[in-house]
Amino acid sequence: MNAAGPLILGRGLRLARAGKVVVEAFDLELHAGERLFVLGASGTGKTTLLHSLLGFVPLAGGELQLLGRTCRSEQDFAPLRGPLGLLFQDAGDQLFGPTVAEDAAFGPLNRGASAAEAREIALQTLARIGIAHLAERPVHALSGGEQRLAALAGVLAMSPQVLLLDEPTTGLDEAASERLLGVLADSGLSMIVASHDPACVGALATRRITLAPAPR
Amino acid sequence: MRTALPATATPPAPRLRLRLGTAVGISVLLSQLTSPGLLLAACAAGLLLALAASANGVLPLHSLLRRIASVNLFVAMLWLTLPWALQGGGPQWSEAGAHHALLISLRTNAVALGCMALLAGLDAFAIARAAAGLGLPSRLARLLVLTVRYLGVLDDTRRRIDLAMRARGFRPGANRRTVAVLAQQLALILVHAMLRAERVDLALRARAFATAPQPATRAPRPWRWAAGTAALCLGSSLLWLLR
Repeated sequence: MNAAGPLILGRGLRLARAGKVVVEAFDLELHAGERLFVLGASGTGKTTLLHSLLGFVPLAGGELQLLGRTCRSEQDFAPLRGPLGLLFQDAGDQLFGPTVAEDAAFGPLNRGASAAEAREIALQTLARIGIAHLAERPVHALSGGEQRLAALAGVLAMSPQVLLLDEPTTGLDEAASERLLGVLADSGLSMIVASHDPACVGALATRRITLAPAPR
Repeated sequence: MRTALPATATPPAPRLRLRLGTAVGISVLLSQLTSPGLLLAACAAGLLLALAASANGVLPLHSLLRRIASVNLFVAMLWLTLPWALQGGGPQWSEAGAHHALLISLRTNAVALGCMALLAGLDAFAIARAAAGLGLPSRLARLLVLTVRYLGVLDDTRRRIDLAMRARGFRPGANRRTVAVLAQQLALILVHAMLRAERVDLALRARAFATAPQPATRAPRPWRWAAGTAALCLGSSLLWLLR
């Protein structure tokens, strides 16, 4: 889809949340294989930035190219939800199905897979990240670490080209955090990560940028 | 449902009670009027007061217009049914029904505009406090606050789930899968609500709030309970649509 250029290219991005500008004149570039960390204090717009890359927060200014396509409207962003996979800050918000396997099958079903194909993809993905034993567990009965891995399985089941991760290790204990970081490192995917966690930054980051508070 | 209102300082308690008491009194008075002319004048006065509140910045104009539209959507439903009498030859225009519909429309608008003007800028918490001050039992006042608060929380949950569904490529359409997914979404909102209720219960008990002893029966599993409730809601809706 985008052989040579950057996977994500933003120029002069301006983002607003609840009518207040939180990101101003921001340039963003992500190349294949990069694991770009977006750092910055709380409220500087890290989550807003990630959500804007899926079209959930409309751009108040600037130009955005995702996987080689210029994106402005819902019609531009909709087909990219899948190739760009977002892991939400609160995994509980993201888990949708009654069981872990059904949740992981949700994305493939949205992309037109049959029920059997979607289940097969889901089970393979769960096995790949080492949580096949959770397949039939109700999503609300999972621990925090298991929820985060199950949510990641739902994203990976859509075969994304880029991962957008919002504070992926926040609230996890050391073991769960290490396990998640291992899965992310092994995925080989390009990613943009918003994180405060030094262990997460140290383990994964190939490049870092800092979001400064927008000028008043 | 959003509970956040324009950031205005909460008025002192006596003035809050006066505003709520006046709104209730005017509503009772208007509900007894039977003259269309007087009711029309009350509507005009209410509209002027509401516009004045809007001009003062207490009630944003778009908010005022949206509320007036909501009220009149209900009024429009009345006009679809009330002025018609079912007789041998099918539905026929009824003067008496139309007169009733006119009176109800004018009363509804007059009361709504009056309340919007008098209660502009107050959130549910302030209104509940004023109602408690006017003699509403404190349990009911607390129930009012919790209802408004948790309607907001449920709406937040719905919006977050909606975002998560879109992030994974869900696009609603006129098909069976969309119906199934929406039923699943409803069930999930109920599960979230129940889990949150359990957490709130724990938080209350952690602060020494005494509840009645729990029965020894085993509660149904949350997912089944929510799925059953969602199925009941959907089934009832379908029966209603197909009746």
